[in-house]
Amino acid sequence: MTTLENTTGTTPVATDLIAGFPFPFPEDRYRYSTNVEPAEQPVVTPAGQWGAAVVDIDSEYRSELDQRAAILAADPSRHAVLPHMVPAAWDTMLTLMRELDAVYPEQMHLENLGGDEWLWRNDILGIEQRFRYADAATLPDEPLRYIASQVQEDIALLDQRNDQLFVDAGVVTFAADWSFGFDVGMSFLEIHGPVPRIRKEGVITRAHEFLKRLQPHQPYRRTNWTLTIDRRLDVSTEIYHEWGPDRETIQHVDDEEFGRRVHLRVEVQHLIRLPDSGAIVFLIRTYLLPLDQLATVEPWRRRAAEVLAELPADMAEYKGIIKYRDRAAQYLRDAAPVAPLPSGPGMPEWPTTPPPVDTTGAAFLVVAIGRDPETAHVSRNWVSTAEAAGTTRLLVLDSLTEEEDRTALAAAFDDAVIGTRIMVAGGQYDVMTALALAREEGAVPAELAAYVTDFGDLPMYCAHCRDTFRVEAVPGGVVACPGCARDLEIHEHHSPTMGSYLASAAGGDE
Amino acid sequence: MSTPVAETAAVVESGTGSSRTDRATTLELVVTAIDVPAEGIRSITLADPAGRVLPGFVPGSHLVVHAGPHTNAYSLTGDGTHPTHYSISVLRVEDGNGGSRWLHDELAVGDTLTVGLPRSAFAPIARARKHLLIAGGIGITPMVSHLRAAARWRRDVQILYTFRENAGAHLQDVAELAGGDAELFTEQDAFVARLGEALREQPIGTHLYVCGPAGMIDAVIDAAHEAGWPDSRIHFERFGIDALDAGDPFRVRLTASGRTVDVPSGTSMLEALEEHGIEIPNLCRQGVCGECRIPLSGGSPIHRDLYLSAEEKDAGDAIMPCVSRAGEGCTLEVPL
Repeated sequence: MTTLENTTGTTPVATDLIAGFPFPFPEDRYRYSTNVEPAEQPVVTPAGQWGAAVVDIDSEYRSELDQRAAILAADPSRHAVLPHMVPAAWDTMLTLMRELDAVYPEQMHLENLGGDEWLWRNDILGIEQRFRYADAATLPDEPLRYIASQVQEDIALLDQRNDQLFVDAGVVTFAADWSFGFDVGMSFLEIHGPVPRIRKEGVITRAHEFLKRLQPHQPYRRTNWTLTIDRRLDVSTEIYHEWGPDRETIQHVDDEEFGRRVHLRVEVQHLIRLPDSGAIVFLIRTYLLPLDQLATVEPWRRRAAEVLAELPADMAEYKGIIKYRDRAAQYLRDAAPVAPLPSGPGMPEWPTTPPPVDTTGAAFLVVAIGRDPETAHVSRNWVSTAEAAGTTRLLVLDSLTEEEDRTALAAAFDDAVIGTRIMVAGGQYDVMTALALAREEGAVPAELAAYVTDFGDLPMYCAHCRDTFRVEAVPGGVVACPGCARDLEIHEHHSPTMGSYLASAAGGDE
Repeated sequence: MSTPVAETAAVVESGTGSSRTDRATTLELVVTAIDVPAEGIRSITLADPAGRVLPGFVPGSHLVVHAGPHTNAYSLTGDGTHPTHYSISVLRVEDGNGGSRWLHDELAVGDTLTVGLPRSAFAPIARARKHLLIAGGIGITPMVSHLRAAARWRRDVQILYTFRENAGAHLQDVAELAGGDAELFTEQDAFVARLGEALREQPIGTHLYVCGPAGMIDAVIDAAHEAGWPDSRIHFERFGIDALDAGDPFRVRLTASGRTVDVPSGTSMLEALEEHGIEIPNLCRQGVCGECRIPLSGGSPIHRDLYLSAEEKDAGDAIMPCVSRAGEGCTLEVPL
């Protein structure tokens, strides 16, 4: 397994846990909502991707299954199947086997041997099991518990009767501050009774109506989140005495330990109407990422800091994070990357956070260049603030290496009148090029704002061919000139007017 | 632990491809058999042309079938756990929308039929202590899959099935699946008398399921009420049995566009809106799927759908225009 060695010497985290992390915040503010969406739509994040399937196996597979087995052995109340839920338990098992077979065809195999006879093979765990559907004597364990020992997801089953849903079965070993043993047999509405705000806002009622109408073969999903101290999946009510005190003590540890131990905990919940029993299954897959790792993905760091700082107190209280969420927000803010460029007098001074919209302007031109999701995010935020202050135009371009895009930008500057504020977001090459163009059109610094989302490239002026090129390099580095093929050293010397860094033949004068 | 898990990430991409029948929105199925179990009834068997397993279904589910120019829903009568084929039984309805006539007159073995995925709207209650099934005529069809599930899970079940002489369908299924718990009637009086008794001798925990012609369903529900059954124990499916009546003419005022649309008797509100170039997403056109739901800003609707909940119908701020209407000469206001 590949790991990211992190520089502060903290616990290594498998790269797939960052790449597959379902970062849950689409905006800088979090409120409860009926946030259900069709499942199986992959979500691309700045670190990778998640959400292609309703079951997910990652490098923690064996470890989490071992933990589940130990918890079930110690506490039987984490597993329940009320008598009328036996068909739903079988249905869940077969449904999950089908999903595993479809999503991981190399390792998981479900084969129908005719009628109700089946063969199941899980190559990761070395399992081969023949069974007869609905015949308990053909399985080594109760079917729900059997399949729960082969998926990382917690499972809760809902029965629908009398126009309501009841949690009447499940295997839940990784509950986030609730008690499955207590909740078994309760209605969906009763279970969510303690959540603040949702009753008034109708969030749960809408979810309830939605679930009652859910049809087979149309899985949906939603996310939920909280903070958890240490990589601890089981933070159930039953063992509160083991993890509850950490909320107090975590306030007194140093920053390094804080960032290593406090995790953003995200649940991806899949909601599926079972095709045989008609019951509803909730699959709850829990992902944990320590804040020090989260902070390595810049858009996540900034977004999570905003959400934690802004979260209303009653919601923070219910999530059990009121004591340390301010510290968590501050930790993330302090983890802002130091500007990756040396900041000598010859270097541009880029802001480390997107500059605010100058609302004294009468009109606004927002230019977003490139496909970086952060560029899109920053420019969207500018647009929504600017729209309240005056006429706003958003210009989205691919790259200023394209003649077409340069022409479009020049035309937009041409159309701009005095009173307009110009805001540019994108990679360094595009931002510097755009700002130079704006200056050429006559814009003054008070009318310009910029935010660089990526320092991987820059505009380089070759002193020998007297032309400017886009190169993927940093000041102080050496690069082959795309024009004259000389090896050039890029100097820490830039010209806003030229919109470029100076470069000249490397080693010539040394 | 590295190797097996590392491979999976790559597999996710290709594994959830389009080879799954259960992630489509419609299926193209081939007719593999047509039987005539009784006069005026055609039992049609459908399978995937490539032989793939079909999406499973909950007992009591129906299939939306595109029958030539028409769209109808029919109960699935087979086993839904791991179906290799779908079976429906279609009664020829002379004065219906034409869908059943098309399935009787035009469809042949080897033809391809477009169907939706099975939809569940008449499921057995898992916690019922006993299931009392009452079927009339072609209303036996959803009961057959109920009986299959009851046999598999050893549920206590009893069925009363009434039909016209020589017009009974699925008699062999009923006999095999319910055995001595089935009672068949071809005489109205005998059925009514036995129904009255049966409704008064059920143990607490029994749920009642009714499917048949509208008049029969109403009569059974009335009899159950009379015997003291609460509504939460009574489940019925009118759907697919007989066409809704043509309804009275009424008017729709479109408040956003300032237009007015007349809806004549025999034309649905959805059809009338479509004729005026107003596109509304829709699927089953029978008040079941919920696709065509539109907001309502004024007027008193007559809700005839099976989609909106009782509270939503009372609220009167939404309507399913495919089946629901208004009283004679009334006007509904829609913010379109």
